[in-house]
Amino acid sequence: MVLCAIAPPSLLLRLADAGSRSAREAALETIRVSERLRGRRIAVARALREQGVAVPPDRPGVTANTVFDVEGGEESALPGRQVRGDGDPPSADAAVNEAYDHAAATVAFYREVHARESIDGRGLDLVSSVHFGQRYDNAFWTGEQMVYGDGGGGTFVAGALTRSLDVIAHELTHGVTQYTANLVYEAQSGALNESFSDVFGILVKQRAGGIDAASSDWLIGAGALEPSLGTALRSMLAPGTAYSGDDQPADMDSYRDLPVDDDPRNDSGGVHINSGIPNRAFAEAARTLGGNAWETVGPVWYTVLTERLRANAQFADAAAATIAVAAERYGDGSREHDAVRGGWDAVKVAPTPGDGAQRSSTRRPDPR
Amino acid sequence: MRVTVVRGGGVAGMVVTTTVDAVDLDAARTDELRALVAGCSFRERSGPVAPAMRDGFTYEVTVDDDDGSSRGVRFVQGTAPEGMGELLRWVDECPSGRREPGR
Repeated sequence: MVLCAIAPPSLLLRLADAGSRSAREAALETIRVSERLRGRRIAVARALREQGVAVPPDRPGVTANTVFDVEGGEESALPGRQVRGDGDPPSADAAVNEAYDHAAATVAFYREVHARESIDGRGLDLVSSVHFGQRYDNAFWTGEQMVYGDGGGGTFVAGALTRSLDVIAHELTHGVTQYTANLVYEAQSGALNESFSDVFGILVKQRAGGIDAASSDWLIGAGALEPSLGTALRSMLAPGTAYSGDDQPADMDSYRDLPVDDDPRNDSGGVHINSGIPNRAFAEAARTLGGNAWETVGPVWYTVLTERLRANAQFADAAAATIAVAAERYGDGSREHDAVRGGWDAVKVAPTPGDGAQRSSTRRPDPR
Repeated sequence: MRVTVVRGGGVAGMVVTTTVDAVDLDAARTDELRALVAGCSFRERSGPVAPAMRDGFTYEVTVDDDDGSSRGVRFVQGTAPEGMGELLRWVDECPSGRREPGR
């Protein structure tokens, strides 16, 4: 038996979890069939786009977007109680609606700008949990879902973590990176991982607000910190100026060579510290070109993240790859090519010789 | 007894150090703190629990005892040794805890 396809995934999951044996088997089969159909639909759409055929966006809700309330619990209580799924009316709880709407906006960005279906490119369902812990001052990606605390614990303004579209897009982009370059989360590759999250975090926010590169504040999490601490989590254009004690370097002369160890002061070799350098390279390139950054340099960074970098890529590799992709996309010596090169020059990163494209890992050694 | 919690990472990437010293606590609160510390393991859990987690917190907890001895442990969010989660929450909520931002 296959259950009626109009049954919402949440109901199917509940039946699969708690129903009678026959209901459970039927629910599981329905979920499997839905997954196969979705996979085919996405593959066909991608093939058509590759042939230059205009494909209308999938209907909203193809990637299920579900918000749970973990009600003050922590890891063992995730995801929590389901409070909003597709087709449900808005909740009375602002955090629920913000997590839902901002996840939807982020997935819409990836679909409409980059023809990418959700986090994994294959329509992965979105799961968000709100109200994690008590006055918890953090938002994070578990590898499978987004989790948001309420803030108000001394670092974040209460409610700011779900209110900030760029913070939510930052977390979801950690998922995109996980399914693509899978940049190792330490030292320079980790700082690139963080930087790609900030780059797409700000691009999602800029596009949603119709903000061009010249008028953007290039701040991540503007207004999210307690005002006594500062104005934002990071400044992409002026790293090191977002809050009191912000120690992000603005170029390689101030690079922080921290050990990769378990000391919380060292931030896995400075992943949230040195990310200021590639962040600024992007912002400088975008500002040089003007216009909408999601239409100019954004696609270059997207191609590099999803196709060109190996997991242990360094800043110089990212520089070489973005310069090469800008030349491929816009022409050798084009304004865009020069602007991307100029961005890396500004932060004093010399590109790896060649195009930086580390595709050797996908090639088999020549046996001869 | 003094308990020092260094918290790093998170989406903000900030370091916050919180210190609670028993000399600043009344007798009842001191007893609470001692009981919580007595219930804590200082042995790291083995094996990666959530290797794909991004922007999680990392912690260093140090307990300096009155006899001059010291115990400490480091762990990432979600892998707190036994009893440590409760101690972290108590320290976070303690009105006489001193919080200092900075690496």
